[in-house]
Order: sequence, then C-alpha cells, then structure tokens
Amino acid sequence: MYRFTLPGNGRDGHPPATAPRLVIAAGALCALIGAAASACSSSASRTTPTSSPSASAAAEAGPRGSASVGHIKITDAYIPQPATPSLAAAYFTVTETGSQGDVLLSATSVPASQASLMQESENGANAGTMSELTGGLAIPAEGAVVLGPGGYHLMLTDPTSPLTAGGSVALTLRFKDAGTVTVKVPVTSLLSDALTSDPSTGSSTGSSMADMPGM
Amino acid sequence: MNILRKALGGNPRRVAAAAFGLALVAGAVSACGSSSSSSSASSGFVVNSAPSSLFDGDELTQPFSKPDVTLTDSSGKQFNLVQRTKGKLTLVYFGYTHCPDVCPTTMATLAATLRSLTPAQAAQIDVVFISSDPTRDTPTVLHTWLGQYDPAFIGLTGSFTTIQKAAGTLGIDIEPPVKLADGSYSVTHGAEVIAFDAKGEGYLVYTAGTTVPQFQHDIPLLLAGRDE
Repeated sequence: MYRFTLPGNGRDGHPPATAPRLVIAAGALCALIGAAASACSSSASRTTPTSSPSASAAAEAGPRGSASVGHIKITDAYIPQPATPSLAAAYFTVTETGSQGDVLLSATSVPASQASLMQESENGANAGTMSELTGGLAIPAEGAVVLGPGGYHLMLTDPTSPLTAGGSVALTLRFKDAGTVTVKVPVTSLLSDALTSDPSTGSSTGSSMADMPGM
Repeated sequence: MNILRKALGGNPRRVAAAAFGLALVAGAVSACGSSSSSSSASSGFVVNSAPSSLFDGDELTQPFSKPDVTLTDSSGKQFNLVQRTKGKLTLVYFGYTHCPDVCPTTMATLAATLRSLTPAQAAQIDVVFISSDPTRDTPTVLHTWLGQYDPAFIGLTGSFTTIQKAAGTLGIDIEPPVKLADGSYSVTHGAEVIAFDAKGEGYLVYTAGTTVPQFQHDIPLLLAGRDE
C-alpha cells in the first residue's frame, strides 16, 4: 500500500511513479460519471456492504507500536509473525506533520536483521515483484505514507532470534531531517496480515483473528 | 477488443471494464483500469467489471479453464490439478515462500476466510498455492510454510517451465527467479487469486488487496453456482 494523505487528495493506493496523476484522473472519472464511478469509488474507498462490520471490528486490531521524533510520527507499527522465519515484513505509517517533508533513509533492528525498504510493483501481466527502494522513502509535507501489505514494507532478513507472536522488535528508523526514532514493534499473529477491511484505511489493515467470525 | 486488451497490458479481464467505461469517458477510465491492474502495488483496487456484477471479485467475460497440469504436491506426490480438484471451488494463487509481503498476506486472507466459513462450505473449497520459485520451494518447504496457514492448503512445485506455462494460460506472466549480486533473489508472484467453480471454470479473479469480507461475500455465491 502506498498513499499520500495530502489535504484534498484521495487516499487511494497507487503505484508511486504515477500516483499524483492517477489520483487526479480517478477523481475526474468519479466526478464525471455517476454509474461508472461506483466501480471507481468502490475501489477508492473500498466500501462493500459486507466489509463494514469487519472494518469496525478491525479497528480494535492487535497491538500496534508508535513513536515520534520532531515532526515525524510513526503509528500502527506491527510485524506479522513470518511463515518463513528468515524473512519478516514490518508495517507502519509515517506521518509528517511538518511542512517540509522528509525521507526515511534506513532502519536497524533489535534483534538484529538486515533491514531493507522494499516496494511491491507490477511486473508483467497480473504479476508482481519486490524490489529495494534506493534513495529512501519520501514522506510528503503534511502527509503520510503507509507501509502495508502489498505496497511498501520494511523487510527484515535473517533476524538473529525468531520473531514470534507476542514478542517485539525495537526498530530504529533514520530520517534525513528528523533524525532517528526507535519504535517498539509488536510481533502479531501469523494471520494478522489477513486483510479484513479496506487497506486504504490504514490502521484497520490486518487485524487479530479474534475479530474474525469463527476465530 | 484486441486493441483494448493491448492497451491494458494484455489483461483480458480489464477489457470489459474498460469497454464499459470507454463508452463514457475514454481518458479517465484508462486511469481507473491501470490502477486496478497494478494490483500488486496498489492492492487497494478492485474494479468490478460491471456495476451489476454480483461479485466483489473481477468477473471475466471469457472464463479461464483450469490448467491441466501435473506438478508435485507438498507430500512429494504427483498432483494433477484438474483431476485432484475436480468438483471443488478451487482458489489458485502463484507465489513463493521467500516472499515477505504479498504472498503471506494472500494466504493469511484466504486462511482467515476459510476459518470463518462453515465446515461444510470449507470442505467444498481447495486453496492451491503454486510456487513461482520452485527450486527453493521444495515439497517440504511448501508443507511447512502452508501448514502454518491451513494444513488443508495444497502446495505445488515442479519445473519452472511447466509452472510458467500454466500461469500463462491464466494470463499471469511469471519470470524465472533471478539471483542478484547481493545474494538475494528477485522472484515474481501472481498478483491475483483465480477462482474456479465446481465445473472448473475460472471466471473470477481477486487482485492482491482483496479482503476477507469480499471473499466471504463471493464464496457462497460461487458455491451456489454462477447462474443462481
């Protein structure tokens, strides 16, 4: 998931390279045509009749970490317990309250791992691949970037001790302007990255299985 | 339609959506279509192919046939997809286990969905994870990895060429894994789950980012049959 939450802008997930154009174009489409816009707006706000109950339930998702430094806030930080122990993804939202913008440059973790900023992108028809973000992740002024399933994530490779649900990882994020911030990131259950509601609502992406019917 | 298909990156299912939209606003719809087809990056997009669709998934105008492919399952035995999943609602995904993000999310979403169904419903469903990184995804690796999500999930591995060909029949372009200079691998995964009904017709696709409630919405409809 990638999105800006710039004032007056959409909160859609878009591929980074074309995000601004797509937001504008999608908005124009929705404004222009009511009937077709239902397809478009449902993708934007992802509202379906059945998703509402879970969306509210998902708001009470498992534990999340948060921290702040200067004008940067880190919220909704979690790491689903990885099914491949050598490879985990950390998810969080970076909010820039200042007017100058910032860049997330790098990260380190305890337990130690190789922490890499990664991005999912389309690669051929109906397929995708993951690549490392070089040059860091830009955080727009008075905006936010969500690292979440299917978009950006911080990949933790070969952690020196297993990341299991109930544990936590101390993640130190280094920003170009704001400096470093350490956030205690809870490791949540393996199924906690099941998508229970609109990923573009950020905080409700992924939830504890306790929220699911029959869990 | 061929021109449309080409413009949309060879993605047949977008054709219906685009054809509908193009009649209304040419420029804007291409934005809508392109964002939905880049599902692995955006993940927040599902565009129903027509507003009247019963389904939350993307409905195809031309259904896919279930690939008649024989691979190796997670117990090391030969597994023919058509024969062994006959009569089941079959949810097929191409992914790999050294995947930190989309593949686990997809499996977790499907696992959570199946747990929420009645046992009778779940018994009519096969989830099939076909490796796009078959050299590293041995039967044992698949068994361990998938078993954490749901022991009933079927994991298949085999020759990459065979898998690539099967994916290709479903409009999914996967490329052979590439080992990078730093020792890591670049691996392609499918960006969607394809649902085949009990008759083996795959007419619904679920892009990455499809939620548990959306699967919960569609599965009873799929189990009931397309025309009901």
